[in-house]
Amino acid sequence: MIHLYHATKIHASGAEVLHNAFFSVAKGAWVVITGEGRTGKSTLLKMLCGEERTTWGRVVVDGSDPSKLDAAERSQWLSQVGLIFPDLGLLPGRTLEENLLLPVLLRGGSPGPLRTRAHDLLEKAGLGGKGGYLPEELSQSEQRMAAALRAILPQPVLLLADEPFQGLSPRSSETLQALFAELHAGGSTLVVATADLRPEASNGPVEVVRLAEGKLNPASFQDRGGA
Amino acid sequence: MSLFPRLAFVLTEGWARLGRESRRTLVVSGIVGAVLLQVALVLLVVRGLDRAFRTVQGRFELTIFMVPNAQPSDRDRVQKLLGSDNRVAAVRVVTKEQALDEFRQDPEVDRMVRALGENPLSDSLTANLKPGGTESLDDLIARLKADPAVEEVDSGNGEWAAMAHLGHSARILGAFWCLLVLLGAWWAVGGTLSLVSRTQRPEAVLLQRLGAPPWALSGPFIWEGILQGLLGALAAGLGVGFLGVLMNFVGSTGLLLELFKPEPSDWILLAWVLALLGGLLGGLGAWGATTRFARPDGHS
Repeated sequence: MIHLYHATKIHASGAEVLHNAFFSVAKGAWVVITGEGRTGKSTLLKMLCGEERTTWGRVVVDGSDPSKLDAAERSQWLSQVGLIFPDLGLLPGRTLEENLLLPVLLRGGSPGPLRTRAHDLLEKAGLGGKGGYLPEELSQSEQRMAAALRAILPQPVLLLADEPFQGLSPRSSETLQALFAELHAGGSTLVVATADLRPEASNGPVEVVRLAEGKLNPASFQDRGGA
Repeated sequence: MSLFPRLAFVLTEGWARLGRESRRTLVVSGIVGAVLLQVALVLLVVRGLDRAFRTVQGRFELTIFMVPNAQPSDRDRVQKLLGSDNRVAAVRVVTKEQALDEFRQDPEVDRMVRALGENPLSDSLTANLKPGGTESLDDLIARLKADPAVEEVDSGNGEWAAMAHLGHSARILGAFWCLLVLLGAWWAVGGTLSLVSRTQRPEAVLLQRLGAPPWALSGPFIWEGILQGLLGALAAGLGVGFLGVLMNFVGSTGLLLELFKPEPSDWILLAWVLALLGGLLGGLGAWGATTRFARPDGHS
């Protein structure tokens, strides 16, 4: 589903965050990219969703380079993709429920069928009864959880999540991990970047990849949370 | 995706933003309202002057004096000539006997006529002109004067033509004034919304990152602009009404008060014009501003 060929990314500052990387993610896989802070995990995820371009090499997702899609094609492509990024917050002035349903509305879809699922997700995330709240009335942790729920709600074919557990309470992290597992069980492909590799992420069907010094390698036993 | 959910999103989102961005609504509506108030006043002045000109024009008369020995057939010929001209509304024939009877109602004149022993007057024809006409009457006067039975043509010393030219000039000046004011308003509204769109940029970028297609970004913004323009038009309409009431209250008289007494059809026309211009100003201004929306990194 996702292929990186000779992918190299050099920032304007001259820092090389990805060097001649080859990387593939099969359809239905759950990949966790781990590594220290500022090693380029976010850049890699932005390349996968087309928000950043490679300096050299190619990124192919679902047969095309997402950074080369025009506005209409990109909108269509994003209807199948869920994005969780720290800087992709909730929109102020709209209620929590409106924020969750916004991606569907933006593409001219009817929110009706997803309303029940939105309520269920809010309940599971401990935000039941807060659907009518504005983002500014929620805690940072609740806002981050809601932004994650927004990406999960339409059951995307591909979920790209950058530091999804950052700023969440331990209980919320567990809930989100369970929701990821649910999504994966439903056939979605998950690519999750995190510096904080959670023990539960090392179990089951999760494939862990380590990004260090611009190179992507299968994670060692210690990286996967082993003794 | 069908058209209806998209339309519903644009309409509801644009409407919601109207309240959510109340400051922006106030500023844009205020600018549009102030401009449209000026336009409304110009239109009322032009319309009022037009009415005044039509009234004055309706009172203009051409008087044709026949030679003293003119025969009834001469009168008929001149009457036919006048009747065939589409600028002439009505022709009235005054024989020299009728004119004398009228004059003799004044005892002084009556004494003079008795002393003279004959009727010194000649037959005459009076032509009332149709209101609203702006054409020159020179050709008609020339044809009348060419008739040997016509002694003199009194055309009001060119006042008809002067009034016609004045009315025409007022319309041109009014249109020019309106055009200038509207261009200025478009610039002001577009500039304001462009400035506003900078504050809108983070939201636009976020919406794009969530997969908003171009119509979902520009549609609500343009609809919001149209609504703000319509609110401005409503404010201008209320402003005109308030001025009218104020002028009646302070007891102003003359032309200024006349301007605020248009016919009902004029009020309806003014309301439509204001609504149309308000919607256009707001919508076009917003459309111009949407072209400045930022795109996310890598998509510029």
